[in-house]
Amino acid sequence: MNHANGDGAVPRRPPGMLEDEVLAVLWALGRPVTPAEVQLELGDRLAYTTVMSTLSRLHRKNLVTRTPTARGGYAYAPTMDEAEHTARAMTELLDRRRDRAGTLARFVSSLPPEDEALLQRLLHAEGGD
Amino acid sequence: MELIVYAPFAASALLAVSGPRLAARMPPATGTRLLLTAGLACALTSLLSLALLAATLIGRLPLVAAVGAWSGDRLRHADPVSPLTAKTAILTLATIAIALVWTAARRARALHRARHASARLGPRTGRLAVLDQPAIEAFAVPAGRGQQGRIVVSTGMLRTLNAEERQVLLAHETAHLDHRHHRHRTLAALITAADPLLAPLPAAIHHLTERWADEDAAATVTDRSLTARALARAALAARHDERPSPRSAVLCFGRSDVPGRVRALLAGTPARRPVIVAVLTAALTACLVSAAEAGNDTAHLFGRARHGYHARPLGITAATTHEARHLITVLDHRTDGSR
Repeated sequence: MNHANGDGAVPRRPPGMLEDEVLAVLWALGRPVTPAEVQLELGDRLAYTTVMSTLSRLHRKNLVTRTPTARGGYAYAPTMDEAEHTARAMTELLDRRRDRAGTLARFVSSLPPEDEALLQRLLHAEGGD
Repeated sequence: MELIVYAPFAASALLAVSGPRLAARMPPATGTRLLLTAGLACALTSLLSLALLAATLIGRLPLVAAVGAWSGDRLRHADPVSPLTAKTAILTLATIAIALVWTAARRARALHRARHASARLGPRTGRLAVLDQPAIEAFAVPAGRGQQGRIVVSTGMLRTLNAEERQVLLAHETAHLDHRHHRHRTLAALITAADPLLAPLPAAIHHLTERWADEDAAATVTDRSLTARALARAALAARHDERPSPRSAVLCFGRSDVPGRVRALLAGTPARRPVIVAVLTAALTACLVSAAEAGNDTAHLFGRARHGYHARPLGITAATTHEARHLITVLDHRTDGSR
């Protein structure tokens, strides 16, 4: 019934998530980065060749741009057009909180102040960086 | 009609009070399904009970009694349901019908908008669509048929989390899309529209589906405390981000449950609770049986009222011709059996 609840039976990385993760790294860093930097940011969880081929796939889809670096090879950056395109497509949804409550699944929602203190404590107790 | 006709209302109230608490104590996928099944059973049996109560009054209307070939007078005498109760039932049914249509229309419109937005992104964009905005925002947009669901995340959110925590975020939203949690939430809204006693259900299902996605994410990254940390960090970063209007405060249910989700993650894998599941299943069965019993009672009531039926020429319609003919034959036999 609930196959995905901590039985360890779930594959570590569902298909399609790899591209999302690499793209997320590029956006988070916000500057052109080399595949090695991406690999480092991901905490060496992926092989260099995996990062390379993922970046190539994203480039083919025009979701990232690449520029040659001085040392040879390429530096990759996310395509800004794509984010503007996303913003335009999502404007209506972002403006309608009513719909978001009903249809969209959000990661977190805002907190009352008393919960804020509690979360701070939990975060520190967990030794978060 | 005996007291049993009111049993589904009692069951609904009981489920509203204890259901969310019980469901929170088991794996969230099980809890979601169990609570929705129980809610659906309660809503359907409550509707049946309302219909039965309403029928006792509607059945007394001369025209209805003629069509149904029973005696309205006899129904009035045999029936323990007061006209006031029956009228309340009719009014409640009408209100529920309006609420159901309104809820369904609102959900359909919201879903249509989400699909439209997703379609506008086009096939080139991957599953992850990035908003270049400092606001802390992340949500999953459910897909239509032949479309892929999208995960929309702001750069503000991406920069708040580290790479591992971003993996948690992506796994969490992926779980929402894969398990189609918007369907669970829509069903919960419809159940509450059909059975207002189950008002706490949507908030409970909202929380349970969030927990479900959290558990999935924790399984994907194989680290519960990392998942808890990602959640806490995102929530803290988002705390000044949104000034909720009073209206959205009412409609956005998941508001204050982030600490609860974090604590649940840190508490360890939720235990399966076969006893709770068994008890709830038994209660559910009892609820369905009592509804069937109430239906039976009503059938008997109308059956008895049928014996008191006397066909009058004006009352005979196409639907009652057969009944009338039968009665005439009986009367003829009683007098002396000759025509």
